[in-house]
Amino acid sequence: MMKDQDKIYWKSFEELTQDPRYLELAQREFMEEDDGSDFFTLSRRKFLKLLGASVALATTACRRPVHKIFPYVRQPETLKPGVAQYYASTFALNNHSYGILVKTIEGRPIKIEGNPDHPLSLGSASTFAQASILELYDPDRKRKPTIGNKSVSWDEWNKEIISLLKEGGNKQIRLLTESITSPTLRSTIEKFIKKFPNTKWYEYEPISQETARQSYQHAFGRPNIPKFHLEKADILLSINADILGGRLDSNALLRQWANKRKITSPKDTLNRLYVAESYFSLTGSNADHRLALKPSELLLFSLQLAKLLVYRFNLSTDSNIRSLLKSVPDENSSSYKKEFLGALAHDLSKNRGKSLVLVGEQESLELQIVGHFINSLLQSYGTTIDTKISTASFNNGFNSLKSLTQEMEQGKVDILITVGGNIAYQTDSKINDLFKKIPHHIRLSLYNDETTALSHYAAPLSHDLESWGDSQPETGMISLIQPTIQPLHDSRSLGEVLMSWIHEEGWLTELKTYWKNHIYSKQPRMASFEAFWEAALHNGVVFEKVTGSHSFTFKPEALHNVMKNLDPRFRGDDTRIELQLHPSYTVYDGRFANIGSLQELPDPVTKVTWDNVASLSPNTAQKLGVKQGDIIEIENKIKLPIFLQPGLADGVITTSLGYGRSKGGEVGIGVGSTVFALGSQFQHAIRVKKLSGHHKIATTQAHHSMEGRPIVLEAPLEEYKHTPDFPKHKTHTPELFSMYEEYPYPGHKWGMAIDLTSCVGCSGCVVACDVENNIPSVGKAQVLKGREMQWMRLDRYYETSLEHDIKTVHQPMLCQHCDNAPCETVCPVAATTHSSEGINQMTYNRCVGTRYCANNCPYKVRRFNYFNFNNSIEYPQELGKNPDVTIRMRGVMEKCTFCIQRISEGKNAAKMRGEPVLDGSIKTACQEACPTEAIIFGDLNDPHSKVSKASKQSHGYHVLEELNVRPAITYLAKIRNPHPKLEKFKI
Amino acid sequence: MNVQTIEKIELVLGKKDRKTITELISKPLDCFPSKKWFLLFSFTASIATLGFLCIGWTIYKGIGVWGNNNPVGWAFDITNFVFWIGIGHAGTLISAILFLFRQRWRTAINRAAEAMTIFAVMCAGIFPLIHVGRPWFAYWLFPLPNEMKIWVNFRSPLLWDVFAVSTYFIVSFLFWYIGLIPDLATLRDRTTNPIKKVAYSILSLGWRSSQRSWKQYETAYLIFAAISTPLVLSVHSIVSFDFATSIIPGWHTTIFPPYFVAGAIFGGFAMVLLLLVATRKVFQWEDFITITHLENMNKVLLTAGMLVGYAYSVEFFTAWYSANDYEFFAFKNRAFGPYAWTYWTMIFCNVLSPQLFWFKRFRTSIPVMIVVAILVTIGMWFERFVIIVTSLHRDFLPSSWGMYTPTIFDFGILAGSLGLFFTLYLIFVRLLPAVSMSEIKGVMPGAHPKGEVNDV
Repeated sequence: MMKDQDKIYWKSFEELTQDPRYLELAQREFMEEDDGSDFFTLSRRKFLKLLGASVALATTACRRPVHKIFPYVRQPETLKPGVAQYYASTFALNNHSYGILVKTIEGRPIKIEGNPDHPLSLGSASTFAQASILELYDPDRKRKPTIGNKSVSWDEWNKEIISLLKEGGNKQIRLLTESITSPTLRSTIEKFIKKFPNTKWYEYEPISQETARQSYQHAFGRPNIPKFHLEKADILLSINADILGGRLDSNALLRQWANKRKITSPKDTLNRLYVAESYFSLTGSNADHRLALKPSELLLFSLQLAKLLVYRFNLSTDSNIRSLLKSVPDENSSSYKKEFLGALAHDLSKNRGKSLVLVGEQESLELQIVGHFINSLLQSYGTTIDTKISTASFNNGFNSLKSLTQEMEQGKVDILITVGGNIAYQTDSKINDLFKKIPHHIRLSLYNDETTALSHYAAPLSHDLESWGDSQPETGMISLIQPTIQPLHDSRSLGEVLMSWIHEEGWLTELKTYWKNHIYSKQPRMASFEAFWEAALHNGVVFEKVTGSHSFTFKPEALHNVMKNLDPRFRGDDTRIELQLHPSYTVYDGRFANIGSLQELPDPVTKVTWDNVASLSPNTAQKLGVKQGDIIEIENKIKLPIFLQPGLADGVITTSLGYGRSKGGEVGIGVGSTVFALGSQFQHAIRVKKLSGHHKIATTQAHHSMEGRPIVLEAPLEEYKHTPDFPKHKTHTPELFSMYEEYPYPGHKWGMAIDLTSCVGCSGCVVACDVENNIPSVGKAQVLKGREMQWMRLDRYYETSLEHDIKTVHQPMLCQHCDNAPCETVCPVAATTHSSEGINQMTYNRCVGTRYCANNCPYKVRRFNYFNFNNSIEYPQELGKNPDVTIRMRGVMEKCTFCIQRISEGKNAAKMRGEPVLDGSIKTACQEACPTEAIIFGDLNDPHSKVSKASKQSHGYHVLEELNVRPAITYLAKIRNPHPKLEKFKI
Repeated sequence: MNVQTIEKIELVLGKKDRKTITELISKPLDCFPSKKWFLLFSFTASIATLGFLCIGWTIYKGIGVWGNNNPVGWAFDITNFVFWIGIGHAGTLISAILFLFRQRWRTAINRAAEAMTIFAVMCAGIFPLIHVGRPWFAYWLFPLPNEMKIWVNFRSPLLWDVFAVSTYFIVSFLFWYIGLIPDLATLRDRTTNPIKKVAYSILSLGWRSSQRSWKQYETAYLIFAAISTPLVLSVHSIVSFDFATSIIPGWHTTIFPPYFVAGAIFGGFAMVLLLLVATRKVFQWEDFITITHLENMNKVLLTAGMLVGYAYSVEFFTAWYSANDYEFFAFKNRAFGPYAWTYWTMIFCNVLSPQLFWFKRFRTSIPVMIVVAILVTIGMWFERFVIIVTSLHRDFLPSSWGMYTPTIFDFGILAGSLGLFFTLYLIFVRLLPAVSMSEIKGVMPGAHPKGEVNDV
């Protein structure tokens, strides 16, 4: 009670009334009778209570924070917890797209597989498509719209942009996008341009179709790029085209190629692949004959081939053409090149209408025109080249960008809107200065990348897996992109943004309207649009009938121009070093640079991870006085480490695009060096300077020779026909007897067959395995130490029997699930055991980590968690992990499980149906991803299963059979199809 | 060799009486350690601490702090393990096998050698524990009944290791302790310090030195010698099974058990020699640990060195003769591959350096034997490194070949184990008699007045 003059402040009635009990209590310091004195007068009961309480307190003191899970208030009708659902969607990149199936579990997409119904996928998905799931969950994605450095809401951001766009009708707006294959989006952009008429639209891709379109324009008067049919070609020539891996449509081309690459009996035939190239491509590594040339020699080579076909094999009687080609110098020397040309021309001329010449789309206009000319000589148009269907292509190269840069230079551009792509990184640094002249740069992107850094208004784009869309990869084929998850961040798709800018209905309505008006109207059979739409979403692809074929009559004046403009430089100049660039097999043009699993995916040829390197032949290195790991500077602009690569022409340095990112995520920054500084061409004559210092190159394979060991067995077709069981003669394995009774495997006996003839080493299986089995990427430092975690690897060996024709073999290597597994006997705690279905199992919980199993594994396929590699998982990465596969902690061993979770799923499904497990109903992730169907998995106990038939083939063998470990994986020996003149078969 | 010739070699020089011997041997236990001892002790203990810090870091971060990788899953860890187990062989060999063979010169050196064995096995025991990925579950290597009904895998040589090493440690320890009992009683009787009195009284188990006690004691000692003898051979044979039963070229060899045992004797004797040369000098025990003793040990070193040399060459021959590509490659790779320098270091240290002992001048020269013993110790470490790392780093599939580079933690733990070993030895020489007082009296001139030996 306080008194302040006359006022009385009181807290309670007791105080006011000065109750004596209150007064007594107020005198005491503690309100409750707990002065601690009764601690000394503990009763037995109280003591025990206290004891119990302290024990309870001590044992529960350090608890992990409680995470509550919330059940569905109303469970979605079709969703069963733990049961995967698949949604058909589309993966689009640059000018190509194909159907995918997105596997989702409880509403989270966790894996991307190819859509078997989509002709460009046929069930397999490329490394990029598969890794796009990792892109979705990338923690470095842009999360909020920003103005300057300030985060704002979408409404504020849009308000700002719209007022900007509307202000003054004369503002020059420039829209720069990446390639857009979506017809709806293209029409929406047209609407945008209609609304803001001062808008010009540019498309840019560093890997463009510009030159290819030009070459078709010159040769045939139409710029459209026709579709190829590799499955119809017996003889193939690839000139830097990298059809089997480096092209975006390789996934589809690989299946076509592999259809002619399957051997089941000695009566079968194979196609023959010739490759002339100036870098070592995946296609080159799978060639029957490969010719390494300098970039400047390619044109001469193609002209010499044309001349041979015209003169020696009389494929053209047109005197005009004959006279044009007369000046082409013959190959005089008795070199391998001459033999190669002779055999090739012989093969091509004998297979008119059944052969195909492919020239890389980034090659010079002249070379591509000569390619078209040879194809027309070979009557490929209408046979191996489709005259009806053309593939999506755009004028998206550097030339089309020129007028934009000019305008930017002159300060004519008021507002630049860049969508996707990454122009600031993908071109030389000059453009970065031009950006400073633009008053308003609006940016829509997935990441905070180099271009975003130069923008004034930036907003996050939704990932394709989060948004609606469509895509048309070629005429007559269109598919929908459907969202499989709510946007993880505060992001919107380009369609949504454009719709809000032009104040129209929502993006989905726009999409549906477009489809109703343009696609449904051409589909006569469907009853209603809704039914059609449902079917299109379900199937993932809609076909339109393409009628009318185009004429492909080669215009001689195109060849005339080639000959006229023939640059004397391209006659070969020995003194210069030439640089050949190519897209990266793992990060493409740099847009996948922030995906650790792709950075760690070894380049299929060099096996280099986390870097781009200056590959050159040992001879060139000697000439330049450099060794592996030395650093060179190219044109005073690019610093690259030296990597010795056999099979390159002397005087050539090759390297890949896509590295040296300076922004756009923690993972990709500072990995390798960018080569865009040299300009947009893929071939350059360069000056090279050696710098001091050494760079450590992280390769997953350091030794490239098989040391004469029978690991990958191969034979030319002739030998196979003569001795179909030739692998049996290459190793001598006496029949071994066991003292013990063999386990009979009464139920299933899982096994695999891998066809080395059709495996090209594309690495799609490795990424599939990474994603399916939650395999972490470990970073360059750990790869350097040899601690990469990939369960599946592709062993690549060189064979140098001939000096110029280096041969390469690729061998997928994974746990062989040996019946006499050496790893199982040595584990002291029985953490790795054999299942009753023949699977070598790994019990992570039991593993103490002695690593004895890995030491004793002759295939070295076991992977040890040297650190807690999964510690670095950060939101939202955990959402993308496969819930059916354990995340492994440090100190435990792991390895391929034959996708045991898929086996269980398949068996359960069969059980629910009350049927036996059907052959082919269980597919491992690697098998699913394989574009050439080289991996076959199934039940070896079922005599009719594909795998048991394949395993019994005469050219099947086990790797290291003589160790008697009895692997469950049968390799089908590689059969090559060399030209008899180039490689004689000796009996 | 008859009894008389043995007696002719004087095992105790300088015509000492028994009291002098007792006093000389217990002198280090009576006085306060010198500054030099403390200096040395702090040095070795610091290194041991450093090693434990490295171990702590390994357990905290993971095996990744070492250089181990795929394909080289084992490297310094198991190399150190086999190295220390090998060193741990000499003690029991000296005390058990030489005892059974009536090599009476062993009496002067067996105590120190046995102590060294125990310390070496302790050092060795660290490695199987810390080399696993999840050391907190290392106890799963013991067949403990559990609610999950998971049993250990009796087919795994690593499990045999667990039994072999733990048995060896227990038996060696008991053997050493039994040998200590009469001396502990002597110390109990001599000391005036009440604390020591209590400690020695408890440890000497009420020893009264009666005729009956001695008879039973010697029987027990003999039995323990008999039990230990097969263990000497079995432990390293079983350690070698870790490699021999695997399928890796360079490991999968039938010669491994005898080869490993010979190597163990070799490395162990070298270490005993090093310790004794220092101990006898510091404590002025040149009269018990005579040049004859050292010379005998050098002869053993020479023999064992020849044995391992033979094993090296036979391995090579067999690899070639087997016509097995993988096998022959493994050996070519050892001698001429990227780790060739380790192989030739091993050959130089283990095969060439002991050849000096063909000459009596070198056999009896203290500096020479110190150098050779150090070389042999280094060589034997490299032998294990060569076997483990060069076999693993290039095995069947060339695609998975790799290289191993040790890290600072690998070196730290190796140094730490050496530090621990010497620290324990330094403590030992200050707490317990490093030479057996009771046994040495049995080989004194005049111990057998009738000039005959009757000690069955």
